[in-house]
Amino acid sequence: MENENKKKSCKHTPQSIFLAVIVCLVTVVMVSSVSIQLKSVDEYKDANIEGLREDELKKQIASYKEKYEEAQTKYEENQNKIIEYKATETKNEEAEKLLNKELEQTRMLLGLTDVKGNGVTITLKDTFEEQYTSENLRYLINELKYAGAEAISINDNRIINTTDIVTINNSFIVLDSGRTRIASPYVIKAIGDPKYLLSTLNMKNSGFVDLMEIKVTVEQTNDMVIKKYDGEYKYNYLTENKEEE
Amino acid sequence: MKLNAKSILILVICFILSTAITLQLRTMASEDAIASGTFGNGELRDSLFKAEERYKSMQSQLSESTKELEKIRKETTKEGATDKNDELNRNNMILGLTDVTGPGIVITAKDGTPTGAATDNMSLFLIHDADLREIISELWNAGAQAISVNDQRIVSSTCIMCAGNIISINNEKVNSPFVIKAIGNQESLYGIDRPGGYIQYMKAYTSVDLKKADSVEIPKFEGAISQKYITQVKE
Repeated sequence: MENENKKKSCKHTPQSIFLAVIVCLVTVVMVSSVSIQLKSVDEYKDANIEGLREDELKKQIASYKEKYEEAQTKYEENQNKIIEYKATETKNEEAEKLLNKELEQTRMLLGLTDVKGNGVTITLKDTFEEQYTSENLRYLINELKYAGAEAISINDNRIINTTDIVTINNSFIVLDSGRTRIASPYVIKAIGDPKYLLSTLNMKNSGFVDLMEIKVTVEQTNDMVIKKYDGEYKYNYLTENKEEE
Repeated sequence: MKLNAKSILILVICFILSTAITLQLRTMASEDAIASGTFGNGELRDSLFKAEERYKSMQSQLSESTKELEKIRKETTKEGATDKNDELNRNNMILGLTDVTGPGIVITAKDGTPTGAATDNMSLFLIHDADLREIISELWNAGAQAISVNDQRIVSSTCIMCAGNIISINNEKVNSPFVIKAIGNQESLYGIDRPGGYIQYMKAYTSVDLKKADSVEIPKFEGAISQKYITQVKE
């Protein structure tokens, strides 16, 4: 009897083998289909452009177009310069003139030359109750750049890329790593498209004029001169990455 | 009896697996529903890919022509002009028109986690455009010579604008975590994390991490700095 029982539990009838194989097959099929599903969901999330909505798509296309045009302008500028240089190949003097012109352009962009043009003048005056903070000035400079200002000065100090505007000891606002201290009244000059500059500053509720609690005077000024930066750029820590040829 | 136990086992396995598959199919279906709004935008998507491609090829053309220009400039202006060539390259580097490397620091600033209290002022836990301007100003003050935020080079025309949930720098969207890289004297740059300083103030609500690095790589500005409205005053 015991023996028979044992025999029964151990025996591999064709039926039970068949059953085991079926279970095995079903499990394999199902597990693989689940993992395929999981994978395709993952891939789906990877293609982020696929998931963008219409307005987002349009915005991105517009921004790429803008960037493309910018790059194209620069490219054409470069090509023209190359042609000009090539034309002067035999005459070193002419080439040097071109070089001088390019050099002058970069100096102008760096703020190392006096420049003139149309723009706006903004006057900020502290009152006894309310004083302008360095963040107010940083904000204003940022707004002016947003409106396309190409040259800016505060109290005749040229604002360059590396100009810092910070408050020291809660009382003084300094420029250029403490080289210059400025105080109210702040006269800010900006050269650019006067139309853009004025409309950005005067924007209802969100423009600089409306945001400040103290009175802000903004006026258009034509043909104004903004003086050059009288300091020196430091570059001793910078090394240019040359691309491998 | 034996067979019965086995079939129950099979039943359970089948049940679990088919539930899993159904769940998967359902989530797929719901994602499809979200995406179906864009299915009709096939053309738009195509033109986005095309616009991206077109921009990239122009970008590579541009960098090639820049190289060529540099070469021909050097060749044609031979003797006596090496100083000027050097100055031109240097000016472009300072303007932010070339990739640069140098010692400096890397700051990682992340939006904070609110405590969950009803009195939380959510705005405090976010990193704002003004915070970035303040940090950048402090870095220039500490003698930084090149700065980038999430690989956007800070140049003279850069503006940092709040655009709702995101911040735009050089007209490109950037998001928390902000990785601010600066090249300059490591000690003085690191010093912006001073007691009572702005970084310390930010650390109260957000996470700000400073690290010195011997070789910080800062990419070039991809756009063009315009000079349409300014003309040089001749001395």
